[in-house]
Amino acid sequence: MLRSDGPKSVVSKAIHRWSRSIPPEAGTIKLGFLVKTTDASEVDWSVPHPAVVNPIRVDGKTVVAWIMSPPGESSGGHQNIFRFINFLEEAGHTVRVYLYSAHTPYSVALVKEMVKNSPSYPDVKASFEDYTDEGVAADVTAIFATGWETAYPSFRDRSPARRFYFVQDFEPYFYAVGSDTVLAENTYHFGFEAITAGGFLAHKLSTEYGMKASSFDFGANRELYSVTNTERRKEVFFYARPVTARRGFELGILALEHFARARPDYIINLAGWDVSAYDIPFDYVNLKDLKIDELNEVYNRCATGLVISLTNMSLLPLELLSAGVIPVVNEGPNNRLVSDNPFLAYSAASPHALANKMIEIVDRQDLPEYAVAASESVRGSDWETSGRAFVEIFESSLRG
Amino acid sequence: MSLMSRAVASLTTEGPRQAASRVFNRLSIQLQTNRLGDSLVRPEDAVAVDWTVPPLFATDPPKPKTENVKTAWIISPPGRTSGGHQNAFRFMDFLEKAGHSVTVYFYTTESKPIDLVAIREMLRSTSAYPDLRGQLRIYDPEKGLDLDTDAVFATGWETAYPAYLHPTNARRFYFTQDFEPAFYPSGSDYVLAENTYRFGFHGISAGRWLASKLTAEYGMPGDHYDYAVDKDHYSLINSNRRTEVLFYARPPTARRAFEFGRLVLTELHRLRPDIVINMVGWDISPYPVPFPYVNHTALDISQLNEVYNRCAGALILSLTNMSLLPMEVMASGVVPVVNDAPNTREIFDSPYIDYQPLSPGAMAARLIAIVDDENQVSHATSMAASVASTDWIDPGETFIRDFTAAMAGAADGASAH
Repeated sequence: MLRSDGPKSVVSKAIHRWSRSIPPEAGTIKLGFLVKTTDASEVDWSVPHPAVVNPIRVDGKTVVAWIMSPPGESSGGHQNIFRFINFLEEAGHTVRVYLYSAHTPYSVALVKEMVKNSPSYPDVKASFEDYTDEGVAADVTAIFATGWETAYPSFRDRSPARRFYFVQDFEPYFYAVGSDTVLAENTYHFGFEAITAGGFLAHKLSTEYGMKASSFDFGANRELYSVTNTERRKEVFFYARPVTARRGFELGILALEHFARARPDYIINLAGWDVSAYDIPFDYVNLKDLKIDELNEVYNRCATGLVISLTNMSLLPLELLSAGVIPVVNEGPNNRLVSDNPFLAYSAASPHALANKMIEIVDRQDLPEYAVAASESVRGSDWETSGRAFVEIFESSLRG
Repeated sequence: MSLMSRAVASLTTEGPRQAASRVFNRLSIQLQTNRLGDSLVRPEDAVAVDWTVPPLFATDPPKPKTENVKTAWIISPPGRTSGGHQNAFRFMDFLEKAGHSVTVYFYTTESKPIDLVAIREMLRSTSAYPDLRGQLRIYDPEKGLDLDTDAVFATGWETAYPAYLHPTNARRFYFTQDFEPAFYPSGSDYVLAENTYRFGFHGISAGRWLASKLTAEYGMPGDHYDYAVDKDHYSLINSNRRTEVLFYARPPTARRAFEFGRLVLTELHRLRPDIVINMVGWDISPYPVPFPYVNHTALDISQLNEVYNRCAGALILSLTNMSLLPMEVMASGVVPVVNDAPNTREIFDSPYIDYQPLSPGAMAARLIAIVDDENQVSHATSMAASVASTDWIDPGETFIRDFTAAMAGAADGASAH
């Protein structure tokens, strides 16, 4: 046996897990990436793209291509992309949407139909087409990559258009360290210009990968989220998404176990996913996947909300603040660099420490007044401001 | 007009998330494992540890004790071919040979009971494991470790939790062999693993990259030992020109980036179909590989040198703590093409290691250049000689020296807590 692999403590665990299942038949295990294999193989980023070496300059209104995976109706990431496409169109630019997927079958017509009809998406004028080997249309002067895999077709495209990268999360973190991590991380070496959701990503991409990176701030919609309950609140909230690893569901449950023991008179609401299948060791209300217009009523019953974000911060903390809920957020630059709002209650990501912070908040004598002040503190954060910042970054980069 | 005010979508509109739709696609798999007990650590132990409050072993460190030290090692049940366990047992053996005692406690969340008889038999019959005198026990949370234990060693991250919870002020050591949070996507397991570096244990790390990372990023104090190449097994026995290449392929070990290596070799084969590609480390036959290759599966250590000596270059990818392989293949005259990163450069920075960016095209081009190198034979000879003449410091000596200093309280008051 080749045992010279050197020190590694979990090998036996991996082998053990492996051996529990029936050994696979020859030639049966598929290898798949989000990116098309040919694209991953052909991109040699150690040789920069000509459009990056000699960027074209464009002044005035222009044609912008966005390459993205086929949007699903409930995909928050895609909804946010279209929010910003809409800002570009409102500023007078023309947008062409190109769909790219290595595996998922999709229909351009159905995607267009969904975006047009869904209340979760804005009305855009953009055209929709399949991304093919032909590349983007000849009139395109700027290409936005979105998810990491879409950076590959952008790199292979022969168009001289300026290359931008709309980055909403640090996607290498979505994988255990391995081939996917490498393929995702490599896209930050492509020489594209990043426009990121929040300051953490811009900081990380510029300091660790030398990318030119700017960011826009998150917004919270005051029409949706506001204080309607100024009484003392006797419930708490946890944003529970067991299917999204970076939301730290298991860690949150460990913390709430302490909280439930210490403050048994508080109702614990879990929302974001139907968690009934999970073994949860305390009483809770399973709110499942709430509609956006049902959230403010729930928020207004809650004194504090636990929101764990292990990569880029969630939008939830700002929305909770707007509704007078004090968010307990895990300590880390990924959250601090996105919002330094003084009402965010940062805590070490230890089950005890998170619970203690929640207890501290529900025990506050001045909680009703504090909640109103928290809501006031985010009054200036709205998406229109973010949109203006985005368009300004884009246009000045194109000119420069 | 605000978009959100018109939205009647669900809470899943929580905002920027590139991969939401991808996550949905994976649901069918994830819902099968909907128990909290699937982590390597027992949830009870994870809940009980509060590392934000300084523990007894930090506030009231024990008096110096450097002889006849009673040590307890907490470790997951070993497998016959587990390099990590073999290395840990080697270090337990160093302690026994230095006059200390070792008791091994097996910790696991697997529902299958631990078979101590089978483990004893496996350890006894496997030459890669030393003959340990110490007792082997199953960790029982009700009983914990012996109360007269002087030094507790955690190994894999999950064992740091029971090590922390031991009620006495016995010294805590952490035998770290890799940066284990990287084995997970960002999520609860990542956090639970990462937090163990904040427990205030004294690290004994494999290589200086890991030790310096744990100190720089988590304030974890500690020492490291260097790896040593086994000169008996690896040497230059072929001084002719070589036309083959090697890939260290371990598909079940994500950090060895099998899929990425496959991209590199696909490109290499497209450009140069005449170059023979050897894969060692695992049986690759279940995996689709779009080019011809020799499947050596997991060879015995005694058969490796012969295969290595057929190869001009080797592709070796290490995404966390580096493998020993680059040094071993160099001893056999093979140029290692290694991904360029601090975790590979800080272990053994030899001018003969060919560091390359993780671009499939660039790596394929380098392997071809190595095969075509006019000076291939003389280069291989001087490279093998450089490894043969390296004076490896014995890891056992380093470890016992550092252990004794820590037991003498050399670092008390200087630790993170």
